[in-house]
Amino acid sequence: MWIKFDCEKGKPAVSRDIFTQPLADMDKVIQDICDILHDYHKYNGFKFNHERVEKWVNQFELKDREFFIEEFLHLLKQGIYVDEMKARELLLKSIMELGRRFKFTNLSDFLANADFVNLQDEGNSQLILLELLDDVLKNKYGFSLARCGTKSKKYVVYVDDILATGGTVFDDVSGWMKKTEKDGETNYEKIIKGDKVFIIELFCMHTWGKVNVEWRLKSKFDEKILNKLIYRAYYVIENHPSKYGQKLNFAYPDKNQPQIVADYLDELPEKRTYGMTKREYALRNPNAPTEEKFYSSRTNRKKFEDLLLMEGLKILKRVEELKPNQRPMGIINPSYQTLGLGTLFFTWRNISNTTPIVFWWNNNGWTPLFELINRG
Amino acid sequence: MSARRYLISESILFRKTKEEFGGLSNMAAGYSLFVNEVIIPTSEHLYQACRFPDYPNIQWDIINEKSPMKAKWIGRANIKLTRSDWDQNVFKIMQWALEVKLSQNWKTFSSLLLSTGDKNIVELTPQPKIWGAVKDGDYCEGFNALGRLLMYLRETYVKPNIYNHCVSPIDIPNFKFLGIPIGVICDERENTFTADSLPREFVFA
Repeated sequence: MWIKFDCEKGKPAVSRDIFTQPLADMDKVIQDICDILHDYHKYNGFKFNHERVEKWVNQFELKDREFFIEEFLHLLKQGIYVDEMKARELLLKSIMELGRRFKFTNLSDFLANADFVNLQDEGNSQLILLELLDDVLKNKYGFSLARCGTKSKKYVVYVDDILATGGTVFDDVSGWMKKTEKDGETNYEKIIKGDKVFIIELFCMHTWGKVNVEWRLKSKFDEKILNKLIYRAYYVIENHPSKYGQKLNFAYPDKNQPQIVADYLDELPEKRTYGMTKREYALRNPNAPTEEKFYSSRTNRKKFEDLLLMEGLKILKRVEELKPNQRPMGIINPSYQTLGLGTLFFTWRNISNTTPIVFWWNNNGWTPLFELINRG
Repeated sequence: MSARRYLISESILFRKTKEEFGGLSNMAAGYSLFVNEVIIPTSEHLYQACRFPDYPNIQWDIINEKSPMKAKWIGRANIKLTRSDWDQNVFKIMQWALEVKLSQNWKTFSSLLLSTGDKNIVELTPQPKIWGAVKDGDYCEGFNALGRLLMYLRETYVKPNIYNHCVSPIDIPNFKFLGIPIGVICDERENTFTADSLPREFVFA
C-alpha cells in the first residue's frame, strides 16, 4: 500500500496515524461532505447525496480524485459552508450584537430604531434573508421585523450573504444614499451628519471587495464617506492582492503555471472595446501566504488550486460564446484581466458564481456539484 | 534647480493643513489616494512609502499610520533603508504622487488649485528646505519645489480643464508598492476608459 509523503511537512500527507488507520476512504470522505452540505437547496427539492458528489469528482482525472475530495473536505470543515440553521443563528446573533454595540438594553428597543433595508430585486438573497430573520424573531421573541423603525430609522441594516467584488453592495448602497428623505436631506447627508448609521451585515466578506466598495463610494460621493459604513461578517475571505499578511483563504493559483494560463490571460483583452487592468494580480506569489492556515499544506494548496484552474479552463474552452466576466475561477469584473475571484464559501441558499466554475457550471459536458438558481 | 524669491502679495502661502489653503499641503486630509488596491490617507503617506520599495512591511506601517506626520517619522526612522536612487528621483516621485492626488480628487483638489488664480503657490517653511520657502520681509525665498509642482499641475491640467484619467508610473527601476510594481493608475468608474495616460513633462528632470 503506497502512502503519499508530504515533503514539506516531513510526514505522510494524510491527517491520520498511518500505523493504525487505513488511507483515505473515498466513501467516508464523500459521506462527510454530504453531511456538511446536507441542506443545500433543500427548499428546492435538491438532494445532496453520495451519487452526486461521486459523479462530480469522477469528472476529474483518476489520479487526482482522492486528493481533491479530501482537500475539499478539509476546506469545508473550516466553516466555509453555512447551512440554514447556522444562518438563523448568525442572523439572530448579529442583531443582538448590534443592539449591544449601540447601547440598547433590549432587542425590541434596537429594532424600534432599526431599518432593515430591502434594496435588491425579488429573488435575490436579501429579501430571503430578511424573511428568514423575520421568522427567527417570530419564533424566538414573538415579534417580527414589522416592529422595526417604529421610533426611528437611525440604524440602517443591509443584510446579504456575500460581498464578493463589491459591485452589488456598491450599487445598492450608493442608490440608497442618493435618495432624498421627506425633510429634503439625502441619506448620504444623514450618514455624514450621524443621523443615520449604515451597517452592512454579511455571512461572508472579501477584503478586496470591501476596499473597492469604500473607494467607489468615495469617488462617487465624497471623502467624508470613507470609514462611515460599518461592515460586519461571520467569515472573512482575505483576498486582497497587496495587503500585508493576507490569509488567502480562497482559490488563487500561483505564478508557476504552464504557458496556456499566460496565453489565456493575454488573450482576454481581445475583442473588448475597453481597457483591462489588474493583470499583475492574476496569479499569486508562490511564497504567499506567509503562513499556510487554510489549506492542509502549501503543497496541497497549489495542487487544489491548479486542479480548479485547469478543469475550469477545459470547460471554458468548450463554450462557444463566453460572457466577458466568465473566468475559470469564477465571475469577475469584466475589465479585470484575471482568472476570476476564486471564492471558497457556500451557503444553503445558493452558491455564488464567484466560486470556481467547476462547482456550478452546468453545461458543455460538465456536471456541477451545486445547482444554481438565476446564475451562470 | 535654483532658489526663487516670491513677493508675498502675489503669492498663496500654505503651511498648516487647517488653514485656508491647507489642502495644498501633502499632509492635508480629505484627498485620499488609491494605489495597488489600497486606500492611502494622504500624498505624504504615499511619498514616504515610495522610499522603501524593497520593504513592503515598512510601506504597510506607513500607510496604516493615521497621522501623516507620524507616517513621516516612520520614514525617518527607517531612512537607512531608503532606495539608493532616492535623491536622483525624489522630485519625479513627488510629481507623480501629486498627479495621482489630482486625478483621484479632481473635483476637490482642482477647485482648490483653481482658487489660487494666477498667484504663486508657496509652501511656507520655518527653515530653508528644498520643498518650501522661508519668509524674508515682503518676500519668501527658497527652492519651493512643492509649490512649483503644484503650479505645474494648475497650469497643465486644472486651468485647461484636462482631467488626467490615467496616471502613468514613472520610469525608474523598482517602482513598487507593497511588493507589486506600480502600473498605470486609472479612474475605473467607467468601464469605457482606455489605459492611455497623458504624456508627462517632469518639472525637475
